[in-house]
Amino acid sequence: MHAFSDPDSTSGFLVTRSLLALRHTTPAQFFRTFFFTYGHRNVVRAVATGLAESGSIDGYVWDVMREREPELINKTRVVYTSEKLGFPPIVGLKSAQETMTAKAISAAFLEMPTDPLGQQILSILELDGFTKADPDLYQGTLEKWLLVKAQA
Amino acid sequence: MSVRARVANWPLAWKAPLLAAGLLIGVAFVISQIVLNRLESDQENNLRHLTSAYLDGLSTAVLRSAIHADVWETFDALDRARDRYAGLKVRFAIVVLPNGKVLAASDPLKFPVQSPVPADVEERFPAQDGLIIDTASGRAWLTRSLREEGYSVGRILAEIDISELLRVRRQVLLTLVAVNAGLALGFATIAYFALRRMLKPLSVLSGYVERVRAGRADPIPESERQHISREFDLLFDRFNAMARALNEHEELASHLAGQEKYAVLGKLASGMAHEVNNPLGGLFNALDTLRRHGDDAKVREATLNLLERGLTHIRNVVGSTLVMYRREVAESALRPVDIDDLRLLIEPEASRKRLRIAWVNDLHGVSPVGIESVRQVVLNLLINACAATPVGGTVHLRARATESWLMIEVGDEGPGLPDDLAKYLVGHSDEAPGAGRGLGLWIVRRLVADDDGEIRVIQEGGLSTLIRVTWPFCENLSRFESAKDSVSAEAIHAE
Repeated sequence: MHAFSDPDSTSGFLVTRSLLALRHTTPAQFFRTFFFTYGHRNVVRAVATGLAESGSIDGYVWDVMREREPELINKTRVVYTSEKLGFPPIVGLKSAQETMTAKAISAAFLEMPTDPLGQQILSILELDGFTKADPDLYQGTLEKWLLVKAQA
Repeated sequence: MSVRARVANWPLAWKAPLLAAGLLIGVAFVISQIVLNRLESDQENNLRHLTSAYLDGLSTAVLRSAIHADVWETFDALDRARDRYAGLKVRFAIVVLPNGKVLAASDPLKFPVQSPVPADVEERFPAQDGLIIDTASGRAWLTRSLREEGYSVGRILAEIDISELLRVRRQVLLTLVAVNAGLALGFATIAYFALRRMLKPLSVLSGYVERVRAGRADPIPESERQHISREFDLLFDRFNAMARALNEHEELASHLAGQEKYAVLGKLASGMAHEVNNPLGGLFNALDTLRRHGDDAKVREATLNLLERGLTHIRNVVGSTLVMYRREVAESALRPVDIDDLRLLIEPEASRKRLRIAWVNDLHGVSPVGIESVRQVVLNLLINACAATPVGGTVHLRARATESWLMIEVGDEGPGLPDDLAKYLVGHSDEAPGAGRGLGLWIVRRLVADDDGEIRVIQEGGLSTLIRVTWPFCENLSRFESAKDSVSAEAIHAE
């Protein structure tokens, strides 16, 4: 019995799915049952309560929960950690890249560490800040997606 | 003594408060039952409403996920419902698919997904929608069907912990018991003191009535009549009136008894005078004969013998009277001769009426009984017998004794003892004889009763009246043995 986070999640589904694809199998074949909880925290809940025997979750969420909900996290243990992959990006349309709105939104994210309200938000999210990244950062994710797609 | 008789003997000051307390406990018990039944009914209704609301909410939340067999959504709904219905202590809830397998449970470790519901769990739940309450285990089990457009898509099974409700019920019961016990005790105490106060005059009256039984009819003094109710005031007045009447009666009876004693004494004195007088004539004749023919030895001897017999007779009569009325021998043991002496005392009366005396004295040795009272009783009976027997008739006496009692019978040939006197004599009636009648019998009855003796009036051997008196021997024989010696020393009996 395995709990996935979300079919559109990299860490909550794609990573595990791609590992199974490498073994030429699928979740339906490998697990007796699996289900989606549509939330990384719910995966921890499902495993901690015994509903699922295993689950796929984002490492960032697991780290945050270890601080905030240790009683729940302590009922789980990490059995596998994937290689580091790019954090879920905030993306926009290329055609609108130069608009005032896009620039304002981009500036809001990038300047968060210097803004008092931004600092509060980052503190809640337990992030240092947002930065401009190269598309190559997501090459690993792309490869996994392609692997799974090829199997399908 | 049976329990019922023992309880009946309890004092009223105990019984009444106990009865009040008992009634109070009975009422308290009934009220407690009503309250508890009502509480139980209300709790059940509340539980039904609460569980119904819980199942309504839960079934709405899990219906979609049950249709899609969505494990997570079903579990999430069950898990959230646990917090949402905190007032209801849900031990576990299971959503069961139509195939009997668990879709999700609030306790997945106990009821894993896709496992069948254990038979021992399944059997606790009602087969149809409903609620089963088990107060012994403190659990309730609910079943609710999940239906969509008429098709069953599963069931919700939930076990509820109702121990809190039972605890409240127990607490109410304990409170009721404690309050009712306190009230019963309090009211019983108040009732005890109130009744004791109210019944105090009764115990005062009882004490004075007891004194009457012991022979003292004291009126209730004013000091005992403070703060009493009108009913008891009237009762005390009546008791005092009765006590006064009893005292007057006792005084009169004593006075009449004294009179009777003097009458007996007079009769005796008259008889004694007659007895003494009879030989006196002969004695004077003898003296005259001696004076005139004293020289003749034969005549002198015969005359002196005559004088001696006459003087002996007088000495015997006087001696018997002395024995009869000497107080110091009152507690001596009775000897046969003490009965025979009485014959001398009644002989004058018997002679006057030319009565024959049938005297049978079968006594041997001493009998440990009160000599004075026995002789007084027998003398009275003999005098009465002489009075009752017609001229020329016979008066009977028979005395005998066993190892433990003395029995003396006195019979006459008179017209018979009237019924009322006979009943009074044997103690079957307390109605004293009227003035001038049977005062001697009153003394007889009293003396015999004092010595724990028994009187019987019987018809026997053709006699009109035979009175049989029996005295038990006194246990203190040594007293009588010593008394016997002193009596022997007196040597004042008739021989």
